[in-house]
Amino acid sequence: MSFIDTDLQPRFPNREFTVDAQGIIKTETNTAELLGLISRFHNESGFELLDTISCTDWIEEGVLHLNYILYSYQHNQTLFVKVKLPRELKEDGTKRTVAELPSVSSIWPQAEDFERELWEMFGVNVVGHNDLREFFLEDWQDLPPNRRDFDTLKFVNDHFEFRVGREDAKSVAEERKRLKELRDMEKAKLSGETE
Amino acid sequence: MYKSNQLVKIFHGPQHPGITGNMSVELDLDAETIVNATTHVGYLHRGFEKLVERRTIPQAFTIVCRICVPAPAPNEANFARGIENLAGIEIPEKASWIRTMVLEMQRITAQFLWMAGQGGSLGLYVNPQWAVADRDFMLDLFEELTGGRVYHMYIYPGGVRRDLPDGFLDKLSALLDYYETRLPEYDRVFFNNAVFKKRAIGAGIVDPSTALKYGITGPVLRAAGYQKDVRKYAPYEKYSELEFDIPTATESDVYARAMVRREELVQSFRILRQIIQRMPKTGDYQVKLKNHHQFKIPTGETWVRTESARGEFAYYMASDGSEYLRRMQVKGPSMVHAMSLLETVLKGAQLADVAMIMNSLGTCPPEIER
Amino acid sequence: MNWKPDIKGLIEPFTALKYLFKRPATITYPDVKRETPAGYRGFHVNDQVKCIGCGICEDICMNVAIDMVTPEEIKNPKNTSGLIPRVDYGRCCWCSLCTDVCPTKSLKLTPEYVLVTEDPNDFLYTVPEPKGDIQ
Repeated sequence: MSFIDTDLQPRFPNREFTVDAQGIIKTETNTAELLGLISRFHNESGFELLDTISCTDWIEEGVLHLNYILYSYQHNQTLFVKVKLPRELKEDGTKRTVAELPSVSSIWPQAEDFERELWEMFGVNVVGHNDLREFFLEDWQDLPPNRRDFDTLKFVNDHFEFRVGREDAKSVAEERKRLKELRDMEKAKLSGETE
Repeated sequence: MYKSNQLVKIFHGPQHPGITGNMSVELDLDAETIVNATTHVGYLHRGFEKLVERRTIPQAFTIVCRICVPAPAPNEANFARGIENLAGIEIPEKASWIRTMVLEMQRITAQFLWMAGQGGSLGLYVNPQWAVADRDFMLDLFEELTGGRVYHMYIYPGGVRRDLPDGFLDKLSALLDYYETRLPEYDRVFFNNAVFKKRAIGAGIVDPSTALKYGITGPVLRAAGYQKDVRKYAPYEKYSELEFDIPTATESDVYARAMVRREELVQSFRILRQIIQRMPKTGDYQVKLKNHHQFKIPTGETWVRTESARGEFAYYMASDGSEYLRRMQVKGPSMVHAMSLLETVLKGAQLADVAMIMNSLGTCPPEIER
Repeated sequence: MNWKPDIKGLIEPFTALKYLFKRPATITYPDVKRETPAGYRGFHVNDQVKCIGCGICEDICMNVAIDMVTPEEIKNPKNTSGLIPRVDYGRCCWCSLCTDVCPTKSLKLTPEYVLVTEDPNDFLYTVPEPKGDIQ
């Protein structure tokens, strides 16, 4: 009997749980149910610890995949509670998502920092958080930098200068082609002369 | 004139004697006692998580070690194991043994660096001199094994990058002998020092009742009376085959954490001695990877954990079927230790103890900001 | 008040003083140099007789430190592009990926690692030929 059959499924009969190859239990929910579900996992199923909140930007699907990574020391089990958050931003220039994410900092104080990071780096609109301040960045007016549509290379090119003295670098493919053409021409010339 | 009801605001940092990296703590002081503390980070943000998204796997592997200065090896191991999980690579037996050895050697260097910082934050300057010098002997071995002293770039997806040099294990064994003769001297100068005891006992107490829930890991958790270690509850590489104890203490103060770390040093010696005995003589040490443009990883996600000297180092990785990772998220112990935990522990502490407490909690700002 | 001084803890730290009478653990650097192990990742060398100018080192370098430039003289007739690598040591991180992927193993790292110069352009490092036998 796995941990899902003995512990999770009886408590959450309508919920679907999957286990991946590494033994991580996964379940998906939405923002409305999130807080209630997570506090039930915490209070009833022995998942004491919120390890981190991971966020992946799936720009093709238009969603941010959030994983609330819970760990139970008691059962030695890891649980991913997945939330898909629509990634479009508000049009009022705040660069935060239209969709709202409830804060779990009432259960775990360390979630405050994780959510601050989500708010700053992905523009997730966290509600119910009492301390949303700048975390790593300073006076950042641009798009939240960890979103996929933020172009790092363009940012670097706009803000920094490259050192001079490296302009003599040549492309290997182009140089090969040029040399080959040169050799072919010489060959043709040579064969023309001999004929 | 000093008024007793007025709070003084002091900015502690961003440069510190005891910790690696820059981080500041804003302190509200009532005379010498701290009333309120707020951590400020942002001096070291380098955007590794974003950079990894623009690099192929072999290219990305060379920058992950730079996430944490005192302990680069757990980062490399996490990255390599994550990629192996996603791509379904099995690594050779010998590579796994070498990795375990490197991780354990790294834990020793990190403990010495902690010891140096702890002494420095108290003004016991003999300790930093000795600890940094003794750490250097281990770095010499790293240099011989990997070619780099601090950033080894050695643990690679698919194994390790080089084989063991001739006579390496003998040198390691001799170094462990030397370390064992040094430990009693450290006891006399540092661990049993009356000054250290006077300062450390009862300072910086972490509440054990909330320690598990708040995501505290490593020696800080173990000094609060919990026998939890990633190497035991989620063993990776060869740790399940090795014998070692997990030291604990119940006092949960700076001194208890120091003694836990000292005991962990002894356990690391013990683990390394077993590894020296059991290291396979022959065998492959790596699996050859494809050209970096063709090395594509199927879509998936993974979560890997390593026990560094300061606590649990964990990576979340997601791939999207291309040669790039879609996301790599780093969660080091400091994300909790230096933020929400430090702010609570500092309340009621003395100004002079701030550096000591920060060091004792295993603060490392580079891994908060990545 | 119960006052019990920790005599042992107060006196024992002074045992460190015995190191005053021992030889220093450090070396006097410019006079005595420490030996670098053979596998150390220091400056590059490029055996131009072997280099085929394929540019794989330039391709894998994630710091974009390697430029392919035209040498004064092409020493390998099989060098199809007629280019050799030049390394910008302002960017190089000595990860040695370039030497790992080098198909002819002409590019190598040496245990040399000291470069002192007043001209920042010297950090655009024209990779020299290896001196003697370097593994």
